[in-house]
Amino acid sequence: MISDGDSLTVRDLLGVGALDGQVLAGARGLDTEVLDVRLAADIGAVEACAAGDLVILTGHAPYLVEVALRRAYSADVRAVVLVRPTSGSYQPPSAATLSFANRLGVPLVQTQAADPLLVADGLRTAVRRPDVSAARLLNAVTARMRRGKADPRTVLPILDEELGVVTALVSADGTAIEGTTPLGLPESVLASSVPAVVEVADGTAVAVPVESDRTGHVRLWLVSHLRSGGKRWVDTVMQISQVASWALGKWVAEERLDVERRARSRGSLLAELLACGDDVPPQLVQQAVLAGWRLDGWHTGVYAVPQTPDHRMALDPSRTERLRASLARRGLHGQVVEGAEGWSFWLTNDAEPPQSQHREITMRLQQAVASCALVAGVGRPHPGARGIARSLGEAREAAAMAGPSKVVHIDELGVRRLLSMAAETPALVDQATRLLDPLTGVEDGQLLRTLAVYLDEESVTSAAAARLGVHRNTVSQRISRAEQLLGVSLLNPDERLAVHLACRAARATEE
Amino acid sequence: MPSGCSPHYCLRMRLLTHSDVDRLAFGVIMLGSGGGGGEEDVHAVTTMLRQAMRTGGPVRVLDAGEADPEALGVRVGLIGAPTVMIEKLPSGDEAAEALRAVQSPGDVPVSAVIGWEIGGCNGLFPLVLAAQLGLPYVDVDGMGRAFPRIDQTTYDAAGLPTTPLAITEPSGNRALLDSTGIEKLARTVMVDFGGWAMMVAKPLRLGDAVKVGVTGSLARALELGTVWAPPPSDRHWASSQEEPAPPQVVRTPEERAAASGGFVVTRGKVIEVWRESTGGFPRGTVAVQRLDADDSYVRLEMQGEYLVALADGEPLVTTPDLICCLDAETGRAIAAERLSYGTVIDVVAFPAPSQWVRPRMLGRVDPRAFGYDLDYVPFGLS
Repeated sequence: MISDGDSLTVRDLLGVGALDGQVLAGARGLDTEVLDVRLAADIGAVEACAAGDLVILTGHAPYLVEVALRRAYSADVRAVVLVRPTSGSYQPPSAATLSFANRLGVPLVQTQAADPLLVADGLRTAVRRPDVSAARLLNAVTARMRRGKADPRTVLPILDEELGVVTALVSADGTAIEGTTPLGLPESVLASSVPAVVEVADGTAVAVPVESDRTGHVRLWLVSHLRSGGKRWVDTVMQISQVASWALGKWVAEERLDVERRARSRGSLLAELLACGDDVPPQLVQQAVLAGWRLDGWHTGVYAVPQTPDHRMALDPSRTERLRASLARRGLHGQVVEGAEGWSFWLTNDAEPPQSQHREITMRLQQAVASCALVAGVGRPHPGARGIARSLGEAREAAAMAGPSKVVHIDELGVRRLLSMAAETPALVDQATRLLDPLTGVEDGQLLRTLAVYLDEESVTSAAAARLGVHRNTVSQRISRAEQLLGVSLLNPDERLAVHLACRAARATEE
Repeated sequence: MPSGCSPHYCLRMRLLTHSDVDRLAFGVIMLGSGGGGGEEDVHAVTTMLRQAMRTGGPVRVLDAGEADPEALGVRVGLIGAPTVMIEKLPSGDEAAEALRAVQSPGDVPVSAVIGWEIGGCNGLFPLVLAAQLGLPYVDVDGMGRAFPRIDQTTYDAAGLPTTPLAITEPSGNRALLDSTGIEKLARTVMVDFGGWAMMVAKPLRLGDAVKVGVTGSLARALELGTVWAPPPSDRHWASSQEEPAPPQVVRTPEERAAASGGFVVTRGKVIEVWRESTGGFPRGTVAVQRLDADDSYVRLEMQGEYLVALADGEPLVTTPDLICCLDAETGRAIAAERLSYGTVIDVVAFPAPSQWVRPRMLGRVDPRAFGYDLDYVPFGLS
C-alpha cells in the first residue's frame, strides 16, 4: 500500500530502522502518519500530546500503559512506544493491555534501549527531518560501499542492513543473480527501461536499472523489497538504490573488461612463449610473472579442443571460465589460456612428477573435459619455461589423435603411431593379405574376425567369447580351425605376433 | 456534621453487644478497602472481642459529640501482617501492656478508647481494649478506612502527636519509641518482634481527636455490615436487646450499593493477577474482565489495599475512596492479598470520609502518595 502523504508512517519508522521495535498490538494503526515524537515520563506528558504524535513512554506499569493508550486514542496519537530497559526489571504488557490496544487500534510497540532519550532523538529526526535521515542513510550506505568491493555480494547486504529491505540483483528474464526476487514482481517491470515502484505480495518493490545495452534494453535490475510503502520512504529507497545501482553498474563494466582483457593478453603471451623456443627473453618472463604464471618447476601440458570441431566458434570467455571451474573442481589448478582453436592448460610440479601421475591426471581430465564437451591431449612433464612450450606441443599432438577416448597421453600415442605406420606400409599389407588369404571369405569372414578379437583379447577365450556374443567353445573351435587353415600355431610367440600384426594391418586397410 | 457520614448513622450512646459483632466485622472488612486484614484475620479478632465482652460486658459507644473534650482517649492498632497473627497468636494483653508503657503512673488516666484505623482488624482492637479496661469507645478514628502507613491519619495531618509510641508483642517484649521517623523505626521493631505487634500511641485529648478525626466511622462500619453482610447460614444471632434481626431479603449488589452510598463498578472475572513485593510493601495489579461488556476490562491497582480502579485506561475510583471486591457467589469480601485468578467478583466503590478529600489532605492519601501517576478522581464523577 503506497500512501500519498509526505510523512513517514509508523510502519515506515519500523522499516527504516529508526524504530527498532516489535509491534505488540494495535497493528491496525500502523499505516497512520507520524508528525512528531514525544517522550512521556508521566501521564501529564501523554495528555499534552497532539494529534499525529508518537509517544515514547518511559514507564511500563500496566495501569500507566493503559491510561496512556486511552489518552493516546482520544488525542489521535499515532503509536505508543514502550522502552524496555537493557537492565533492571520490566513488566511486559499483559494480555488485557494488548487486547485493549487492539480494540483501540493504537499501535503498541516495544523497543529495547538503555536510554529512551536516544530512541526519541532518532525518531524525531526521522519524522521531522526525513531528508536528514535519508541523507544519513545515504551516507551510511556510501561509506560502507567505499570500504568494500563494489560487487553484489558486498553491496546488497549493505542495502539490506541499512534500509531494512530485501534486495536482489535480477536479470531481465527474472533470474535472481544475487538475493531473492520478491514474489509477484510483474514481468513488465523488468521488460521496461525506467525505474519503477510496484506493489508486490507483502509490500512494495522498487526496481532500478543497473546495466543496459546500446539499444537501451536493461540487462540487470536492482530490486528492493520494502514491507512498508509510505511515499517518503519509497522515495528514499529509490534514491539510495540508484546510487547503489551506479556502483553495481561499474562493477559489471569492470568485470566484463577484465574478462576480455585477460583472455587477450593471456593468449598472446602464450603464443610468444611457444614461439620463442628454448631462449625465453627476460621481458617475456616478467609478463608471465605479472600474469600470475609460474615458469620454474616441471610442467605438464594439456591441450583441449571441442569434441566436434566448430569452425565458427570464437572461443568465448565464458567457456574458458567453465573449463577452468571444471578443472578446479577436480583438483587440477593451473593456467587456462584460450587460443584460436582450443585451450592450453598446464600443471606445474616443484620436482619431476612420478610416472604414476600421468594416469591420474588423465583420469581427472577425462571427467573435466567430458563435462565441457571437449577432448584433450596430455604432454610429458618438462622443466622450465621452455618445458611449458614442449609439453604443450606434445599435448597438442596427442589431442589431434584423440578419438572417442576423450583424453590421450603422448606416451600412448607412440604405440598407436607404430601401428598406424604398420598399416600404412604396403609390403607389410601385402604380406598380411597373403598370410591371411586362407581365411578370406571362409564362413563369411567370421573366422578372421574371431581370430582378430581373440588376439586383441590376449588369447583369452572367454573374453573373446563375451565380446563376440558366442559360446567359449565356439571360439576355441574357430581358433583351432583358423590355425589349421593358416598352418600356424598361436602358441608360438613369433607366429602369434605375425598373425596379430597381419590382422591389424588387414583391419586398417578395411577401414 | 463534621464527619463523612450522615446523621442517622451516628449513634447516640449505645451498647455494642455480641449481636453486633458479626456485622461490625463485615463492615470493618469493607472499610479496609481490601487491606487491614482479611476475613480470617478479622474473625480471629472478633473471637478476642467476644471473649473480652464476656468478661468485661458490652462496650459503651459514645457519639463524638458526647465525649468530654478534656478527657484523654487512647488509640491502639496492630502493625505488621494480620495473617501472621493467626500463627503467632496474641495473648490478649498486648494493648493494655502498651498503654501502661506510654502512661506513667502520675499521668492523667485515659478515660476512653478511640479508633486509629477503622478498616480491617484495627477497627476491632480498640473495642477489645475498651472491653478489657471497661472504658467507653468514642466513635472516631484517624483514617475512616484502612491505610498502610502510621502517618496516614487525619490526626497526623493535623499535627497531633503519634509519639511516644509503645510496641508490644505476645511474649512480653515491649519497645517505647520516640522519633521523628516513627514509621521506619516502628516497622523495624515490628519485624524483630516477629511479624506483627500491637502499638499504642500517646493518648490524645478527646476534643482534639473529635475535631480532626473521622467521626461516626464505627457507625458506618455497622451500617455497611448491615447492608452487605451475607445472611448468617450457620450461626444464630445472639438475642438482640435493641432491634430485631432485619428481615432477610435478597438484594442485588446495585441495590445494596445504593442503600449504602456507593456504586457497583463492575461484575467481572479475574483474568490476570500480578504481585510483587518492593521495599516491604506488597504491590500488584489485577485485570477483571467485565461480564457486563464485551472485551472490556477493569484494572485494579493494589498495594495493601485496593487503591485505583480503571476501566479501559480511565481511572474510575481512586484512593482515598474505597474499593471493595466481593465474591459474587458468596458475597464475602476478598482481601487484596487473597484475590485470585478466576474468581468472579463484584467491584464496589464507596466515598472516602470527607476529611480526606480536602485539597491539603489529599496529598497524603491520593494515588500519587502510593506512587501512581494519577490524580484523585472525585467520587462518582467518571
